[in-house]
Amino acid sequence: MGYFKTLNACTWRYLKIDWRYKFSIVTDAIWTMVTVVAFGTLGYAAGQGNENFVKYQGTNAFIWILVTGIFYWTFFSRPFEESVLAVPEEAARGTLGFLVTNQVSPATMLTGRMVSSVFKFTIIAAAVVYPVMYVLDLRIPPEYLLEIFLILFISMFFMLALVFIVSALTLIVKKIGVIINIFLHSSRILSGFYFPLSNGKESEFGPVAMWIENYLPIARGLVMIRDIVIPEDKGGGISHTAVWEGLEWMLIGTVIALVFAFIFIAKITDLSRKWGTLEFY
Amino acid sequence: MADKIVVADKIVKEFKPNLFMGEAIRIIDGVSFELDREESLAIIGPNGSGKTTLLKILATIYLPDSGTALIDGYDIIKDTEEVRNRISLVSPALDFQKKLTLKETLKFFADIQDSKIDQAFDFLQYMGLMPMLDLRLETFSEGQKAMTRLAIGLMKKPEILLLDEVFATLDFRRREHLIKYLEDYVKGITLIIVDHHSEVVDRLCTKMLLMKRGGSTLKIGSVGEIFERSPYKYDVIAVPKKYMSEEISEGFGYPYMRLGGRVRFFVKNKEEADDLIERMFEWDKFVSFEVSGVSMDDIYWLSMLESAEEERFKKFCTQCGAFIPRDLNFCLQCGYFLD
Repeated sequence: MGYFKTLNACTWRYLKIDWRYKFSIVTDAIWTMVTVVAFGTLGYAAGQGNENFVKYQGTNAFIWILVTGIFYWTFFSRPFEESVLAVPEEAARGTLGFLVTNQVSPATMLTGRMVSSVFKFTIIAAAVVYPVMYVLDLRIPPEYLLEIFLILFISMFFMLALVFIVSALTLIVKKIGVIINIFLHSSRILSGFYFPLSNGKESEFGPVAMWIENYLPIARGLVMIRDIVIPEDKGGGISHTAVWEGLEWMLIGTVIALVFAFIFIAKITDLSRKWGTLEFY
Repeated sequence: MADKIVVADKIVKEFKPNLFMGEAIRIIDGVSFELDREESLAIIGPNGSGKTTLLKILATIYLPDSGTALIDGYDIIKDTEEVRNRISLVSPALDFQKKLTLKETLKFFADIQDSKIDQAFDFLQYMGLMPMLDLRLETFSEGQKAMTRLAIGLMKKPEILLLDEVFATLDFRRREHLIKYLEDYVKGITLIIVDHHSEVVDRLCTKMLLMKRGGSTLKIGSVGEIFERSPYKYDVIAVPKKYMSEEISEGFGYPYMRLGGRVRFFVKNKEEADDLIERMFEWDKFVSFEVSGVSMDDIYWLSMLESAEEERFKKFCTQCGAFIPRDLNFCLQCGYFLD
């Protein structure tokens, strides 16, 4: 019970802080819009004359791939960055040591930061990205709302596992800007954000690509989101049964990742207490 | 419930400037002490003597490299949860989210400490901060932030309150007010204080741990014991008419300490006091001087003087005259190697 009270307190604190920095919310929304325009343009240019480029059909197919990728990643890209940066920010503020002495582990604090940040970007995704999807005939069918929610919910916890791992590194390594980008872009590539992994199944890396698409929670999640929102007559469409099966695999992968990440951050937190890096900023 | 509320045993802590290479620097070197319930300890020493690191080890932020400490019988390494339930660290390093109000900040810390926000209200009322509850912390002065830190620390109702230089940013009036609050209202709590104000040590602490640079113990004992052990029984506080150089001060032949425009000399007996006063008359450049028995205030300054004694062996470069830290044999300014 104490854990949830603490988590709740951390989440509310970050929500209040985010709300007070309204200009930052506006710039996040603008940044998301710019990303949609940039990738939309790229998708349009790449799709011309390449109708069979991806498994979906039509000249808009590659735009759909990218815009659905942006929709999915809007929930996690900036929240990932904001959450990882929360550790050095709290340490610089002297709060980290204080929280530790009050039984608040970095993992709890990071979970609060991630949840509040995902909440903020849910609003941005709904306000900025979904209208563009709507114009492009990409719709969330009401009967799939629960499944979409669960895909995003489980994906958030998988990304939280990555946040734990990178944040653990920030407890011992101070300059982590590039490390954040390495993890973020690697995750986006592996999820099939830039290019569907299934397109590479004929290549020599095909088995690996298909394994990743099936078992990496963020890859499976993005594939299912695309199949749900892209019209059935254009190559989209997925049954409820297939989605639930996918959710099971996502859940298993996420639990494994979370357990590993939790042990990792707990061990590194102990090491940082030994090395004295917990508060040295 | 253990007899001793704190038992620290040969605590050693080293930090490496670079984690993967180079020599480790010893910050705390085998510090041991014990505290009975309701005893209060002042940790005193020059900068770099490891006072704050020692507090952070007791607060379970850092792990000791060797040695350990028991808090109310619980080991700071093995029983961190039990230890953390019993302690509260108030550190000047704790800053706040400036966009949050005082009330929101207290609510957050109350929730994570599993305490109640109204437990801070008595203290805030006493310190006159209640009207500021709905103001954002970005409008607070450093002194008001220091009060907020203390309110958070007290809200937990800890058995041991670790105070790291909380008085440093307070003006005289607020400092006096806070000392009085801790004297009158905070009962049954063990205080461990790092502070440079002698009146804080004098009024709030029953025991002193004097540390020297390098993190080793210079003296440990009750205030009375340290008072007894001191070879100096009188002090002479002199106010010179103009700046009194080191050479002139040393020329009087007694240990001294400069405090602003005043010079505080320490003497062992009445004969030495008479001798010193006679020399002062000869020099004839004092506005005033005052002789008194050694007080707690003097003990504090004497200890500081003693722990800084090694500083007296400092070296200067024979080429460029720059100061050279005593552990080096070459000049950082011009690179000249000393013989």
